[in-house]
Amino acid sequence: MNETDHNMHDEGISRIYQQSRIEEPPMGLDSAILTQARNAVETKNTSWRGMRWMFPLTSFALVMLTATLFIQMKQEYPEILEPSSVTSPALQVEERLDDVQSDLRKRKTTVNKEQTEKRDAAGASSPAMEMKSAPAEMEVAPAKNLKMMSKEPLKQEVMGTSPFRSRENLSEADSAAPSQPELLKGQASPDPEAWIVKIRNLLKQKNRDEAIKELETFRLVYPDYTLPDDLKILNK
Amino acid sequence: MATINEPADEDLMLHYKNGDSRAFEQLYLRHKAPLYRYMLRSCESKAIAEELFQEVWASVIGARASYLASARFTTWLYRIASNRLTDHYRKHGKWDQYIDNSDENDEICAISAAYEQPEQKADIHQQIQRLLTCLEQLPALQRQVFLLREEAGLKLEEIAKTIESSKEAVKSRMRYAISRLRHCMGSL
Repeated sequence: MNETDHNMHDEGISRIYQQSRIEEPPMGLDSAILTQARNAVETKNTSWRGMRWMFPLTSFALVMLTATLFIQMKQEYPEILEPSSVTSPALQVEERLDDVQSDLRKRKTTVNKEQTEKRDAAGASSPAMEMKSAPAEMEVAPAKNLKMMSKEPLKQEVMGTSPFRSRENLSEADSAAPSQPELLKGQASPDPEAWIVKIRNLLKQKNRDEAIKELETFRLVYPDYTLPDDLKILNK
Repeated sequence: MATINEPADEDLMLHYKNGDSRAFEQLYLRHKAPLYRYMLRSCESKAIAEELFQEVWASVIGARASYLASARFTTWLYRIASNRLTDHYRKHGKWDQYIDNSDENDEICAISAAYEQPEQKADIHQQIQRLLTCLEQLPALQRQVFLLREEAGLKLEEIAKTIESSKEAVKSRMRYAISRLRHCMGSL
């Protein structure tokens, strides 16, 4: 039995059936399937060459995002982005150093004035050597002493709880510090030798109480300094 | 089907596998109408036929990477289609109806002997309508083998491979399908 067997194939039926073959899939279905087929291979073939627009688009999107975030931050947290509203720790230290320097200048002027008065009063004998050497020391001293004086406060500021301390808060903290109150107020002598000279001058002026007070302050600032014999009497 | 100057279906499919979407277009244009009619005449509604038709092509697209040109493309395509139909009938609880096979119906065979050529009775349009009506009334498996030969142009061996059945079973179904159609056409 082969396929052309009368029982398995009918020419008449086959001919009629072939004439019935007119239906075709709708065009929408055609396009959907062809698009699906195209997309399937295009997705696979996607390369950097075909994505040349990606870099500029990404850059543009990044810029837009940054700008939007900046504007939003400026609106919601203006104090973070406004430099004048908050003083940074570095700026605070700089300001403190300026204060100390101006204080030193005042002190230097005072010492010079005292020395001038002394010279005028006592004549130009042996004290002149001390008077001459003191200003020179004062000239050299500031940098070294500033370093020493600002060391502790700086440390405190950096280690403090808030990095955005205002000047008012800073002053309160300074006044509350028990270790070197006089120093922070700018009353400490920048140089121990000049300070000792000043204390001697106070003694010579018969201002013993003031000299003792000054010596106590000196001892607070320079606890390891070996006092001259003439001042040891006061240190009791 | 491909002529001498046109590339074979299998070559087109391999080109598509390598990323040539134009090859798929050619392949689709060749096979879309027969496959569509195969689905249309195997399903109870046009909407379902269209849905399954699209699913078959989606499967072809999805399986392009694993396609091997060892078998004939048409056989592969209609195997996918037949499996889709089977899944559809199983999913909708119509599997029993689908496999209803009345091959042993002797009455039909007897009547087929008295069959007259249909073109003698009516004009061609009426004959087409009659044939399609008769085709609808065939058991699904008999209709399937008839359509695979008429639409896909498959030989009995290829039909057997496509529907994963034996050649003898296909022959038997084809014989009964022709007998029923003859009977139906003669009796309408």
